[in-house]
Amino acid sequence: MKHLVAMVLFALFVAVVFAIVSKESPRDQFTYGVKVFFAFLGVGLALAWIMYPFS
Amino acid sequence: MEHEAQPVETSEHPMEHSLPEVRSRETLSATSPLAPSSTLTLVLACLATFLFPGLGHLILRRWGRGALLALSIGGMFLLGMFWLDGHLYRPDLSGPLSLFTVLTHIAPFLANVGVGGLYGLCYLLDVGFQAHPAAPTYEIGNTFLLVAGLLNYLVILDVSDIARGRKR
Repeated sequence: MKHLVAMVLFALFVAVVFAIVSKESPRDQFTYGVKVFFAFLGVGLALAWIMYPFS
Repeated sequence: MEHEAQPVETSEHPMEHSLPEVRSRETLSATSPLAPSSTLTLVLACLATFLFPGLGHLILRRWGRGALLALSIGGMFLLGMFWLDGHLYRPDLSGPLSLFTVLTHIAPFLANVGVGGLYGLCYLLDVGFQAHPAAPTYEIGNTFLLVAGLLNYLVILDVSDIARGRKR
């Protein structure tokens, strides 16, 4: 469970920073941040399932 | 029968066909020109961000951004060290300089140093440099610490852009 929480927090922190650095208006920042957050989570889960047979 | 050339409708608005992001930037420059800060402010803001994430944005009066960046990068650093049992890297140049040394010691050190003030504080207090490889979240903690430093380099560039008037 700690690993999952860590992954969610990592995605959240990186999404916030990317959104602030990449976009200017608050609305654009929020939209981009949400996209990046779910992209990180999605890729993380996908990689986890890909690695699962080899664990 | 001559085919008369149909008049092509051209837009008189110069930003009609521009990309939305470019259009917003042009609108921004047309309505509220960004005044670049002085060189001293630029240097101070960048140094402040290097010392502590988000501090440079606060100096430039970007309160919301500064607070969010401080919470994000500072939170990442603290969680990586104290909750996930990661550790900071020291530059170990005692052995011969090789690609292995660069990858395993110098590169992580350069990444950690991105949060300069926090790294310096930990160095002075000798906190956070001991490795805990037996901890189940050891690598995750290291990743948090490395990425926090790397993200702060990006934030320094962002502060520089804001201080130069390139961004709002």
